[in-house]
Amino acid sequence: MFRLQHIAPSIIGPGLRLRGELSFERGVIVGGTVQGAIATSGCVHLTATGSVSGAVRADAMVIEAGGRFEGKVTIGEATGLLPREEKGGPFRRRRTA
Amino acid sequence: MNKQLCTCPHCLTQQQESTGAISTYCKHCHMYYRIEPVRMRRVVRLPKENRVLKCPACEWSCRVVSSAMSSQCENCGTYLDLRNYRIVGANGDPIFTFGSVEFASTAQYRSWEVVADQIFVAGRVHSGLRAFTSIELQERGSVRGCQRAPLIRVAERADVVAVRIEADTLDVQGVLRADTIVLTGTLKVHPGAAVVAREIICGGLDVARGAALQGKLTTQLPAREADMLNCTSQYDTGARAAQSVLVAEVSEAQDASDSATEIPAAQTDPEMAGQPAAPAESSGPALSDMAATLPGAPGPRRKSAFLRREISPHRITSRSFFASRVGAATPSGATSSKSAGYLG
Repeated sequence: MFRLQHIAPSIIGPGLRLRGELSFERGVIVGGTVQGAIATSGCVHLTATGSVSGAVRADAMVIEAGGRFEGKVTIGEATGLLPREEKGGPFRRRRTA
Repeated sequence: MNKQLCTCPHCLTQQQESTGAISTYCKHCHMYYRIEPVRMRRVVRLPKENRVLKCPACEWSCRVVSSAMSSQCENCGTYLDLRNYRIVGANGDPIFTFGSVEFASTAQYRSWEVVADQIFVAGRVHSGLRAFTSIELQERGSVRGCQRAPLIRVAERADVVAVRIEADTLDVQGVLRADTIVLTGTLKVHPGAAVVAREIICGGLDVARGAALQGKLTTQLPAREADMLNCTSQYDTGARAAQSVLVAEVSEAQDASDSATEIPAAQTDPEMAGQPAAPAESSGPALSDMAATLPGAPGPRRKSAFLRREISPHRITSRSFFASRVGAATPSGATSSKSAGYLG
Protein backbone atom coordinates (compact mmCIF):
# COMPACT_ATOMS: atom_id res chain seq x y z
CA MET A 1 0.00 0.00 0.00
CA PHE A 2 1.17 3.51 -0.76
CA ARG A 3 2.24 5.17 2.45
CA LEU A 4 2.57 8.92 2.13
CA GLN A 5 4.34 9.53 5.40
CA HIS A 6 7.43 7.67 4.22
CA ILE A 7 8.12 9.91 1.31
CA ALA A 8 7.02 13.38 2.38
CA PRO A 9 6.97 15.43 5.53
CA SER A 10 3.86 17.11 6.79
CA ILE A 11 2.82 20.27 5.01
CA ILE A 12 1.18 23.33 6.47
CA GLY A 13 0.00 25.12 3.40
CA PRO A 14 -0.41 28.84 2.87
CA GLY A 15 -3.56 30.16 4.49
CA LEU A 16 -3.53 27.56 7.21
CA ARG A 17 -3.17 28.85 10.76
CA LEU A 18 -2.29 26.60 13.64
CA ARG A 19 -1.93 27.45 17.31
CA GLY A 20 -0.46 25.27 20.01
CA GLU A 21 2.26 22.70 20.42
CA LEU A 22 2.82 20.68 17.29
CA SER A 23 4.77 17.50 16.88
CA PHE A 24 5.79 15.91 13.60
CA GLU A 25 7.53 12.64 12.90
CA ARG A 26 9.19 13.33 9.62
CA GLY A 27 9.60 17.03 9.48
CA VAL A 28 7.27 19.73 8.33
CA ILE A 29 7.04 22.26 5.57
CA VAL A 30 5.46 25.44 6.84
CA GLY A 31 3.85 27.69 4.31
CA GLY A 32 1.15 28.96 6.64
CA THR A 33 1.18 30.43 10.11
CA VAL A 34 2.07 28.57 13.28
CA GLN A 35 1.84 30.07 16.73
CA GLY A 36 3.38 27.66 19.15
CA ALA A 37 6.14 25.18 19.57
CA ILE A 38 7.19 22.73 16.90
CA ALA A 39 9.01 19.52 17.69
CA THR A 40 10.16 17.07 15.07
CA SER A 41 12.91 14.60 14.41
CA GLY A 42 13.10 15.76 10.85
CA CYS A 43 13.54 19.06 9.14
CA VAL A 44 11.50 22.19 9.60
CA HIS A 45 11.29 23.98 6.29
CA LEU A 46 9.88 27.47 6.49
CA THR A 47 8.92 28.76 3.08
CA ALA A 48 8.72 32.37 1.97
CA THR A 49 5.05 32.54 2.90
CA GLY A 50 5.46 30.75 6.20
CA SER A 51 5.44 32.26 9.64
CA VAL A 52 6.34 30.63 12.93
CA SER A 53 6.40 32.20 16.35
CA GLY A 54 7.45 29.78 19.00
CA ALA A 55 10.15 27.38 19.97
CA VAL A 56 11.42 24.87 17.47
CA ARG A 57 13.26 21.66 18.21
CA ALA A 58 14.35 19.73 15.16
CA ASP A 59 17.21 17.95 13.48
CA ALA A 60 17.53 20.40 10.65
CA MET A 61 15.96 23.65 9.65
CA VAL A 62 15.70 25.77 6.55
CA ILE A 63 14.23 29.23 6.39
CA GLU A 64 13.77 30.67 2.97
CA ALA A 65 14.14 34.37 2.37
CA GLY A 66 10.86 35.98 3.31
CA GLY A 67 9.90 33.38 5.86
CA ARG A 68 9.18 34.80 9.27
CA PHE A 69 10.37 33.22 12.45
CA GLU A 70 10.62 34.35 16.00
CA GLY A 71 11.47 32.14 18.88
CA LYS A 72 14.00 29.86 20.40
CA VAL A 73 15.67 27.32 18.17
CA THR A 74 17.34 24.08 19.13
CA ILE A 75 18.67 22.17 16.19
CA GLY A 76 20.61 18.97 16.66
CA GLU A 77 22.62 18.22 19.73
CA ALA A 78 24.50 21.17 21.10
CA THR A 79 25.02 19.52 24.45
CA GLY A 80 28.77 19.97 24.38
CA LEU A 81 28.31 23.67 24.25
CA LEU A 82 25.38 24.01 26.54
CA PRO A 83 26.94 23.64 30.00
CA ARG A 84 29.34 26.45 29.37
CA GLU A 85 26.48 28.54 28.13
CA GLU A 86 24.34 27.79 31.12
CA LYS A 87 27.07 28.59 33.59
CA GLY A 88 27.18 32.11 32.41
CA GLY A 89 28.23 31.77 28.84
CA PRO A 90 31.51 32.43 27.19
CA PHE A 91 31.11 36.12 27.75
CA ARG A 92 31.12 36.25 31.48
CA ARG A 93 33.63 38.65 32.84
CA ARG A 94 36.19 38.02 35.47
CA ARG A 95 35.38 39.69 38.67
CA THR A 96 37.92 42.17 39.75
CA ALA A 97 38.17 43.09 43.36
CA MET B 1 68.81 37.78 -24.41
CA ASN B 2 69.74 41.05 -26.10
CA LYS B 3 71.96 39.57 -28.78
CA GLN B 4 71.97 39.90 -32.48
CA LEU B 5 73.56 37.80 -35.15
CA CYS B 6 76.19 39.69 -37.14
CA THR B 7 77.84 38.60 -40.37
CA CYS B 8 81.38 39.57 -41.15
CA PRO B 9 81.52 41.30 -44.58
CA HIS B 10 84.99 39.91 -45.17
CA CYS B 11 84.69 36.21 -44.38
CA LEU B 12 80.91 35.91 -43.96
CA THR B 13 81.32 34.35 -40.55
CA GLN B 14 78.43 34.89 -38.22
CA GLN B 15 78.82 35.74 -34.58
CA GLN B 16 76.71 36.96 -31.72
CA GLU B 17 76.97 40.55 -30.64
CA SER B 18 75.09 42.73 -28.29
CA THR B 19 72.20 44.67 -29.72
CA GLY B 20 73.86 47.87 -28.56
CA ALA B 21 77.10 47.20 -30.39
CA ILE B 22 77.93 49.49 -33.27
CA SER B 23 81.10 47.76 -34.40
CA THR B 24 83.17 44.68 -33.67
CA TYR B 25 86.07 42.52 -34.73
CA CYS B 26 85.41 39.29 -36.49
CA LYS B 27 86.39 36.34 -34.35
CA HIS B 28 87.46 34.41 -37.41
CA CYS B 29 89.40 36.86 -39.57
CA HIS B 30 89.93 39.53 -36.93
CA MET B 31 88.78 42.24 -39.30
CA TYR B 32 87.04 45.27 -38.02
CA TYR B 33 83.58 46.03 -39.33
CA ARG B 34 80.64 48.18 -38.43
CA ILE B 35 77.32 46.82 -37.37
CA GLU B 36 74.06 48.22 -38.53
CA PRO B 37 72.36 49.34 -35.34
CA VAL B 38 69.29 47.35 -34.59
CA ARG B 39 66.52 49.56 -33.43
CA MET B 40 64.67 47.49 -30.93
CA ARG B 41 61.09 48.46 -30.62
CA ARG B 42 60.87 49.94 -27.23
CA VAL B 43 57.84 48.92 -25.31
CA VAL B 44 56.72 51.30 -22.67
CA ARG B 45 55.35 49.35 -19.80
CA LEU B 46 53.18 51.45 -17.62
CA PRO B 47 51.44 49.71 -14.79
CA LYS B 48 47.71 49.59 -15.11
CA GLU B 49 45.67 51.38 -12.56
CA ASN B 50 43.23 48.59 -12.29
CA ARG B 51 42.38 48.48 -8.65
CA VAL B 52 39.57 50.65 -7.45
CA LEU B 53 39.41 51.72 -3.83
CA LYS B 54 37.13 54.00 -1.96
CA CYS B 55 38.85 56.46 0.25
CA PRO B 56 37.84 55.87 3.85
CA ALA B 57 37.79 59.60 4.51
CA CYS B 58 35.92 61.06 1.54
CA GLU B 59 34.58 58.02 -0.34
CA TRP B 60 36.37 59.10 -3.47
CA SER B 61 36.97 56.25 -5.91
CA CYS B 62 40.68 55.98 -6.39
CA ARG B 63 42.31 53.89 -9.07
CA VAL B 64 45.60 52.46 -7.99
CA VAL B 65 48.07 50.05 -9.45
CA SER B 66 47.37 46.54 -8.33
CA SER B 67 50.94 46.04 -7.21
CA ALA B 68 51.10 49.28 -5.24
CA MET B 69 51.81 49.01 -1.56
CA SER B 70 50.49 52.41 -0.64
CA SER B 71 48.75 55.31 -2.24
CA GLN B 72 47.09 58.59 -1.51
CA CYS B 73 43.55 59.64 -2.15
CA GLU B 74 43.38 61.81 -5.24
CA ASN B 75 40.72 63.94 -3.62
CA CYS B 76 41.75 64.49 -0.02
CA GLY B 77 45.26 63.08 0.15
CA THR B 78 44.52 60.48 2.79
CA TYR B 79 47.19 57.82 3.06
CA LEU B 80 45.96 54.43 1.87
CA ASP B 81 47.84 51.41 3.05
CA LEU B 82 47.62 48.62 0.48
CA ARG B 83 50.06 46.17 1.98
CA ASN B 84 49.37 42.63 3.03
CA TYR B 85 50.27 41.69 6.55
CA ARG B 86 51.09 38.40 8.12
CA ILE B 87 51.22 38.26 11.87
CA VAL B 88 53.29 35.39 13.13
CA GLY B 89 54.02 36.25 16.75
CA ALA B 90 52.72 38.29 19.62
CA ASN B 91 51.64 41.64 18.36
CA GLY B 92 49.25 44.41 19.13
CA ASP B 93 49.87 47.08 16.51
CA PRO B 94 46.72 48.51 14.96
CA ILE B 95 46.22 47.56 11.33
CA PHE B 96 44.20 49.47 8.79
CA THR B 97 44.95 48.29 5.29
CA PHE B 98 43.26 47.69 2.00
CA GLY B 99 45.30 44.55 1.58
CA SER B 100 44.95 41.27 3.38
CA VAL B 101 45.84 40.30 6.90
CA GLU B 102 46.74 36.78 7.88
CA PHE B 103 47.12 35.67 11.45
CA ALA B 104 49.36 32.63 11.38
CA SER B 105 48.83 29.73 13.73
CA THR B 106 51.56 31.09 16.00
CA ALA B 107 50.07 34.56 16.14
CA GLN B 108 48.80 36.07 19.33
CA TYR B 109 47.27 39.36 18.47
CA ARG B 110 45.63 41.71 20.90
CA SER B 111 44.36 45.06 19.80
CA TRP B 112 41.25 47.13 19.40
CA GLU B 113 40.33 46.47 15.80
CA VAL B 114 41.83 45.19 12.58
CA VAL B 115 40.52 46.62 9.33
CA ALA B 116 41.48 44.98 6.06
CA ASP B 117 40.17 43.78 2.76
CA GLN B 118 40.46 40.12 3.64
CA ILE B 119 41.31 38.60 6.99
CA PHE B 120 42.49 35.05 7.57
CA VAL B 121 42.73 33.85 11.12
CA ALA B 122 44.59 30.72 12.14
CA GLY B 123 45.99 32.00 15.43
CA ARG B 124 44.66 33.66 18.52
CA VAL B 125 43.14 37.06 18.06
CA HIS B 126 41.72 39.20 20.81
CA SER B 127 40.48 42.02 18.67
CA GLY B 128 37.62 43.21 16.60
CA LEU B 129 37.87 42.30 12.94
CA ARG B 130 36.41 44.30 10.10
CA ALA B 131 36.90 43.22 6.52
CA PHE B 132 35.71 44.80 3.32
CA THR B 133 35.45 41.45 1.56
CA SER B 134 35.61 38.45 3.86
CA ILE B 135 36.83 36.99 7.10
CA GLU B 136 37.97 33.40 7.16
CA LEU B 137 38.45 31.70 10.49
CA GLN B 138 40.62 28.71 9.85
CA GLU B 139 41.43 25.60 11.77
CA ARG B 140 42.70 26.33 15.27
CA GLY B 141 41.76 29.94 14.77
CA SER B 142 40.36 31.65 17.79
CA VAL B 143 38.84 35.09 17.81
CA ARG B 144 37.49 37.06 20.71
CA GLY B 145 35.81 40.18 19.50
CA CYS B 146 33.34 41.69 17.10
CA GLN B 147 33.51 40.75 13.46
CA ARG B 148 32.09 42.63 10.53
CA ALA B 149 32.37 41.56 6.92
CA PRO B 150 30.12 40.78 3.98
CA LEU B 151 31.17 37.14 4.19
CA ILE B 152 32.38 35.33 7.27
CA ARG B 153 33.49 31.73 7.07
CA VAL B 154 34.21 29.57 10.08
CA ALA B 155 36.26 26.65 8.90
CA GLU B 156 36.15 23.15 10.26
CA ARG B 157 37.65 22.71 13.74
CA ALA B 158 37.78 26.42 14.30
CA ASP B 159 36.55 27.62 17.66
CA VAL B 160 35.30 31.16 17.67
CA VAL B 161 33.85 33.22 20.43
CA ALA B 162 32.54 36.53 19.26
CA VAL B 163 30.61 39.18 21.03
CA ARG B 164 28.82 40.37 17.94
CA ILE B 165 28.93 39.24 14.35
CA GLU B 166 27.63 41.37 11.54
CA ALA B 167 27.69 40.02 8.04
CA ASP B 168 25.73 39.40 4.92
CA THR B 169 26.42 35.69 4.88
CA LEU B 170 27.76 33.48 7.62
CA ASP B 171 29.05 30.07 6.72
CA VAL B 172 29.88 27.86 9.69
CA GLN B 173 31.72 24.57 9.56
CA GLY B 174 33.27 24.75 13.00
CA VAL B 175 32.06 25.94 16.37
CA LEU B 176 30.82 29.45 16.82
CA ARG B 177 29.64 31.00 20.04
CA ALA B 178 28.40 34.50 19.87
CA ASP B 179 26.31 36.87 21.82
CA THR B 180 24.54 38.42 18.86
CA ILE B 181 24.59 37.48 15.21
CA VAL B 182 23.10 39.96 12.78
CA LEU B 183 22.92 38.85 9.17
CA THR B 184 21.26 40.45 6.22
CA GLY B 185 21.58 37.19 4.33
CA THR B 186 21.71 33.54 5.22
CA LEU B 187 23.18 31.63 8.11
CA LYS B 188 24.45 28.31 6.85
CA VAL B 189 25.49 25.64 9.33
CA HIS B 190 27.16 22.58 7.89
CA PRO B 191 26.95 19.06 9.33
CA GLY B 192 29.15 18.73 12.38
CA ALA B 193 29.18 22.45 13.00
CA ALA B 194 27.62 24.20 15.94
CA VAL B 195 26.34 27.68 16.52
CA VAL B 196 25.28 28.91 19.91
CA ALA B 197 24.13 32.46 20.21
CA ARG B 198 21.96 34.41 22.53
CA GLU B 199 20.28 36.20 19.67
CA ILE B 200 20.35 35.48 15.97
CA ILE B 201 18.86 37.83 13.44
CA CYS B 202 19.08 36.65 9.87
CA GLY B 203 17.31 36.79 6.55
CA GLY B 204 17.49 33.08 5.91
CA LEU B 205 18.62 29.91 7.61
CA ASP B 206 20.03 26.64 6.41
CA VAL B 207 20.97 24.18 9.14
CA ALA B 208 21.92 20.80 7.80
CA ARG B 209 21.17 17.54 9.52
CA GLY B 210 23.95 16.79 11.96
CA ALA B 211 24.57 20.42 12.75
CA ALA B 212 23.66 22.18 15.95
CA LEU B 213 22.08 25.53 16.43
CA GLN B 214 20.76 27.10 19.56
CA GLY B 215 19.55 30.55 20.31
CA LYS B 216 16.74 32.99 19.92
CA LEU B 217 16.14 33.35 16.24
CA THR B 218 14.42 36.19 14.46
CA THR B 219 14.20 36.44 10.72
CA GLN B 220 12.59 39.82 10.55
CA LEU B 221 14.93 42.61 11.41
CA PRO B 222 13.72 44.66 14.34
CA ALA B 223 13.24 48.34 13.71
CA ARG B 224 16.37 49.19 15.64
CA GLU B 225 18.54 46.85 13.61
CA ALA B 226 16.91 47.93 10.38
CA ASP B 227 17.67 51.52 11.27
CA MET B 228 21.25 50.55 11.84
CA LEU B 229 21.46 48.88 8.49
CA ASN B 230 19.99 51.75 6.56
CA CYS B 231 20.85 54.72 8.69
CA THR B 232 22.40 57.53 6.72
CA SER B 233 21.19 60.69 8.34
CA GLN B 234 22.26 60.83 11.93
CA TYR B 235 25.92 60.21 11.30
CA ASP B 236 28.09 62.39 9.20
CA THR B 237 29.73 61.28 6.01
CA GLY B 238 33.12 60.91 7.55
CA ALA B 239 32.03 58.34 10.04
CA ARG B 240 30.20 56.35 7.44
CA ALA B 241 33.04 56.66 5.03
CA ALA B 242 35.37 55.12 7.54
CA GLN B 243 33.41 51.93 7.12
CA SER B 244 33.21 52.13 3.38
CA VAL B 245 33.52 49.15 1.19
CA LEU B 246 36.41 48.25 -0.99
CA VAL B 247 35.16 48.19 -4.51
CA ALA B 248 35.92 44.97 -6.28
CA GLU B 249 39.03 44.98 -8.30
CA VAL B 250 38.80 45.17 -12.03
CA SER B 251 38.77 41.79 -13.62
CA GLU B 252 41.67 42.34 -15.94
CA ALA B 253 44.01 42.90 -13.04
CA GLN B 254 45.42 39.46 -13.61
CA ASP B 255 47.38 40.46 -16.67
CA ALA B 256 48.48 43.81 -15.33
CA SER B 257 52.12 42.94 -15.32
CA ASP B 258 52.05 41.31 -18.74
CA SER B 259 50.20 43.85 -20.74
CA ALA B 260 51.72 47.09 -21.96
CA THR B 261 49.96 50.38 -22.28
CA GLU B 262 51.09 53.82 -23.15
CA ILE B 263 48.14 55.75 -21.86
CA PRO B 264 47.02 55.46 -18.27
CA ALA B 265 43.62 53.89 -18.07
CA ALA B 266 42.29 56.66 -15.90
CA GLN B 267 42.57 59.16 -18.74
CA THR B 268 40.44 57.16 -21.08
CA ASP B 269 37.97 55.72 -18.65
CA PRO B 270 34.68 57.57 -18.90
CA GLU B 271 33.77 56.33 -15.48
CA MET B 272 36.66 58.11 -13.93
CA ALA B 273 36.19 61.16 -16.09
CA GLY B 274 32.65 61.56 -14.90
CA GLN B 275 33.50 61.30 -11.27
CA PRO B 276 31.43 63.59 -9.13
CA ALA B 277 33.04 66.52 -7.46
CA ALA B 278 31.38 65.83 -4.18
CA PRO B 279 31.68 62.52 -2.40
CA ALA B 280 29.00 60.23 -3.68
CA GLU B 281 26.83 58.01 -1.56
CA SER B 282 28.22 54.58 -1.13
CA SER B 283 26.60 52.09 -3.43
CA GLY B 284 28.06 49.09 -1.62
CA PRO B 285 26.14 46.72 0.56
CA ALA B 286 24.26 48.08 3.48
CA LEU B 287 26.72 46.42 5.79
CA SER B 288 29.15 49.27 5.45
CA ASP B 289 26.63 51.71 6.73
CA MET B 290 25.55 49.28 9.35
CA ALA B 291 29.05 49.00 10.69
CA ALA B 292 29.43 52.75 10.78
CA THR B 293 26.31 53.34 12.72
CA LEU B 294 26.74 50.68 15.33
CA PRO B 295 27.42 51.68 18.89
CA GLY B 296 31.11 51.97 19.39
CA ALA B 297 31.88 52.72 15.78
CA PRO B 298 34.66 55.24 15.47
CA GLY B 299 33.51 58.78 14.94
CA PRO B 300 35.17 61.23 12.62
CA ARG B 301 37.76 62.48 15.08
CA ARG B 302 38.69 59.08 16.28
CA LYS B 303 38.78 57.73 12.76
CA SER B 304 41.24 60.31 11.63
CA ALA B 305 43.39 59.57 14.62
CA PHE B 306 43.22 55.93 13.75
CA LEU B 307 44.32 56.57 10.23
CA ARG B 308 47.30 58.52 11.37
CA ARG B 309 48.67 55.62 13.32
CA GLU B 310 51.12 53.68 11.30
CA ILE B 311 53.09 50.62 12.01
CA SER B 312 56.72 51.31 12.63
CA PRO B 313 58.71 50.41 9.52
CA HIS B 314 61.39 48.49 11.37
CA ARG B 315 58.86 45.85 12.26
CA ILE B 316 57.87 45.19 8.71
CA THR B 317 59.85 43.10 6.30
CA SER B 318 58.87 42.28 2.79
CA ARG B 319 58.26 38.76 1.76
CA SER B 320 56.64 37.45 -1.34
CA PHE B 321 55.16 34.10 -0.56
CA PHE B 322 52.10 35.49 1.10
CA ALA B 323 51.38 37.29 -2.12
CA SER B 324 50.85 33.98 -3.87
CA ARG B 325 48.57 32.86 -1.09
CA VAL B 326 46.51 35.96 -1.33
CA GLY B 327 46.50 35.68 -5.07
CA ALA B 328 45.01 32.24 -4.77
CA ALA B 329 42.34 33.51 -2.46
CA THR B 330 41.49 36.48 -4.62
CA PRO B 331 39.47 35.61 -7.71
CA SER B 332 41.02 38.29 -9.81
CA GLY B 333 44.45 37.66 -8.41
CA ALA B 334 45.03 41.36 -8.42
CA THR B 335 46.83 41.40 -5.13
CA SER B 336 49.16 38.62 -6.04
CA SER B 337 52.01 40.87 -6.89
CA LYS B 338 51.89 42.80 -3.68
CA SER B 339 54.44 42.12 -1.05
CA ALA B 340 53.53 41.24 2.45
CA GLY B 341 54.35 43.07 5.63
CA TYR B 342 55.34 40.94 8.58
CA LEU B 343 54.63 41.81 12.11
CA GLY B 344 55.67 40.19 15.29
